[in-house]
Amino acid sequence: MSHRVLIVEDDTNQRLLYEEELRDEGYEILNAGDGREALRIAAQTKPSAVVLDINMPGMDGIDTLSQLLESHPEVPVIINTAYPGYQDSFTTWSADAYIVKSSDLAELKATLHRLLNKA
Amino acid sequence: MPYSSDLPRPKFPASTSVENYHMLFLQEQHRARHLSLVNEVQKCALLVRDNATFLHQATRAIHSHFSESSVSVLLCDTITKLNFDGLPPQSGSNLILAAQAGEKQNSATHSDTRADHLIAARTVQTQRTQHLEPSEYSALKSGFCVPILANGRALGAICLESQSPDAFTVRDTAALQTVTAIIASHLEAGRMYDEMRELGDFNKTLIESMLHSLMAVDSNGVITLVNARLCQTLGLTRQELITQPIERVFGSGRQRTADLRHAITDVASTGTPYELPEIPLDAPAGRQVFDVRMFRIYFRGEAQTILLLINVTRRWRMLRQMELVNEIGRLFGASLDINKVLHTVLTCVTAGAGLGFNRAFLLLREADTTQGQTLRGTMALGPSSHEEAALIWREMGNQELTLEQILEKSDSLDAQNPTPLQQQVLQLELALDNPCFPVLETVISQRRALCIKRKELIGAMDETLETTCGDQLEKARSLFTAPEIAIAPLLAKDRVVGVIFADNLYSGAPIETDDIQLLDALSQQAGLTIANALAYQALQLAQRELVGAERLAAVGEMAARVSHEIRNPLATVGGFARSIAKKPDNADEVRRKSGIIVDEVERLEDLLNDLLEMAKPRTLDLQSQSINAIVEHALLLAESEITAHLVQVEKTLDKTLPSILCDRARVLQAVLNIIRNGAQAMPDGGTLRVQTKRSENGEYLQVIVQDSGMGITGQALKHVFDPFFSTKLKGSGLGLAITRRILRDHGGEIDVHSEPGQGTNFILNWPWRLPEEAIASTEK
Repeated sequence: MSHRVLIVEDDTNQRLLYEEELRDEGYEILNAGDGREALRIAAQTKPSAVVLDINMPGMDGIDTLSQLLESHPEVPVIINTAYPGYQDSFTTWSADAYIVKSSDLAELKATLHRLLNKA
Repeated sequence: MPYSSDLPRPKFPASTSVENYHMLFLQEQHRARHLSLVNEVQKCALLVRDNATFLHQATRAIHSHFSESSVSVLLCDTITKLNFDGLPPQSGSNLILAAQAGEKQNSATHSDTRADHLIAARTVQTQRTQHLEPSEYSALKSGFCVPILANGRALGAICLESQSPDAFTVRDTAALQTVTAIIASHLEAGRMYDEMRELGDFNKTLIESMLHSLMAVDSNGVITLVNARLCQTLGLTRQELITQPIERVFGSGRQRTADLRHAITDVASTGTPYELPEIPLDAPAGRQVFDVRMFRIYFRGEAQTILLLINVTRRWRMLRQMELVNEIGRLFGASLDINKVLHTVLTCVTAGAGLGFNRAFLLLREADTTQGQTLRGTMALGPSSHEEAALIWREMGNQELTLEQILEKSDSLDAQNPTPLQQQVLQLELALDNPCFPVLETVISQRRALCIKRKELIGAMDETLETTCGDQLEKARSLFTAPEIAIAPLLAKDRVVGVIFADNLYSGAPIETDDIQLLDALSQQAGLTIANALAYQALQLAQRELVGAERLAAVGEMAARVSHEIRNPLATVGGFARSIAKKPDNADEVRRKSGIIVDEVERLEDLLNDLLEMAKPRTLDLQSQSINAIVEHALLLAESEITAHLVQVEKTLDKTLPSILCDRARVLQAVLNIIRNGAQAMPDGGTLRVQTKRSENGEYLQVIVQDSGMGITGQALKHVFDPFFSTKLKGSGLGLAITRRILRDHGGEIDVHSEPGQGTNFILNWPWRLPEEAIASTEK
């Protein structure tokens, strides 16, 4: 069974990019445009990992992270943000990984691979 | 005296009866002669008022009766001092010879004269008729003295002397006593008359020379008497006042006159004195203030009221000046807004309850311009023409407003529609440090208010100066047309912040020392207040700059956010580019991915534009613009967006709105941002209401854009103008931030109201008047 990755990202084109690239890696992809949608999807279909943007309208990544930790503490969460500043915020420490967005998705893919194959 | 000289002596011895008849005849003749003497003296008394003349005539009459005798009238010197100033004083004696008739014999010696006086003195002392004792005379043969008695007091004595012994009979004594009584009563009447006349003169002199004004008023309130001082004070003649009602003096149509009439009647009927304090009268020398004291007096057969007008103008003025200076100080302290302060200062100078000048101008010093120091016209108050002045005076007429009431009334000074006078003053510019207005230097160096003549300020100059000063002089000449001008420096410690000019162009009233003193006191307070207000203004500017600096700090934070905003599309662009590079052969995929790349690059470009807009130097290109035209243009530009979202536009534009001074491109952008924002808030269609109007308080011109979208929640509403705060999926997050900045640069503000589910209402408030820094920024 392939791993299911939930991508939480408000930027449509960005989401599309992740979806295409990660599907090429062989993951099954779930998409959410904001935190609320992500929690709903996660409740229906448990993901193997979550790639979470922080800066989103509606429910942002930080809130989503704390709720995910409550409902699915075993699911690894990768914070994927354009904003390196959040790295210093202790709320993000509970995430399993923190990645600064880049056009090179190698780091994201490597982290996903590491987290999913560890279990 | 058995026989007077003119009676025939009997030449023969007569029979007893014949002798008896003869005696009887003589007695009757004597009595008749005595009566005629009395009659004659009485006649003199009736005809002659003057005592000296009367005495001479009476003496002559006596002498003609007692023709063989000499007659002397001696008066006590206490009496003569009063009535016979012409007589030489006779030393050593308290009796003075007042009149004499009949020659004394040559043999009469000095000692006889003394004897005369002795017997007269004795007569006066005893107040009884005295006869000459043989020891008292040498040459005299006989004589007697009758005291002149009045009210039990001896005024003097009348003495008869004859060279013959036993010249006088008892009848003669009685006759002289009768005559003397007439003389005494006449002298007394004369003395009383003189005393009365003197008293009258004394009173009249007193009334006329007194320094207070005085008038008598009868029970009908008609003036019956005035003194010279009153006439002089009012500048009216006696004829113009006597028989006139008191309103002639106190003015008509006021409660005060009613009070006054009431008091006058009261005083006349009860006799209780009364005082009305501080009654103002309009006199040629300006308003005078009197304490009016009233007394009852009986005059011309009725109870009248005397009104004593004590001029307390000086005291009243001083008190009022102190009060005024106090009041002005209080008013000055009431505001720190420079325009309000200047307006208050000018109101105090021009208001009737203040200094009461017709016009006042305020010039502020402009430090260190390229032309050196100048005084620039900043504000003016007063009528622009005689007609306007007359109208204002008629309107103000009887209402006596306090300074505060006047200030409240004129609080909304119309900056948009300056009066001709204000326009004239705003153009005024007087250079210091040059010889064009030498009087300004004097005022500033003397550091006090002065009254100057017109020609001293803008007098004739030589040709060189006329050329140098040209334009300034021209403007000054057309403004300063009054013959006298009050001028006061506005000082703050050692610094001159400006100058106040004031004149009485319309009333033509002269500028008094008092006015100048008050203006001086006022300008000293005003100087400090204005300096404070200017400092406060500078402080506000500095604070705004500080806020600007804070904005710079915010830029640091913004840079971080910008990097985020850029990173996202950049990551997408790069990611798809890599994706294309990995699989370059699938043409459809390449087309699709490069389309995304193009979109993202466009987004980056938009962001860049907005960032540039935010960072753009804030220079405004100010032009007079119609806000309605700008709104129409913005709607046109937003049309594609409006149509795409199926939005209906409802326009309500107030066609009467005047133009405002603004930067058209910026205002257009601000309005366009709000309209686009509104359209985007209704992705499923709705109504966009666009309205232009005057704000409720009249200070702003408003553009209101209302959408019927989802609305914004309270929490989000607080941050809608923050950069990069956006609930939208599209856009840079800078639109509203930029819009707010454009408004603020114009001195305006943006408000937002929203009810979730009801839509959002953006109100753009554009000020009529640009803030100074906005105007200053255009000059850079």
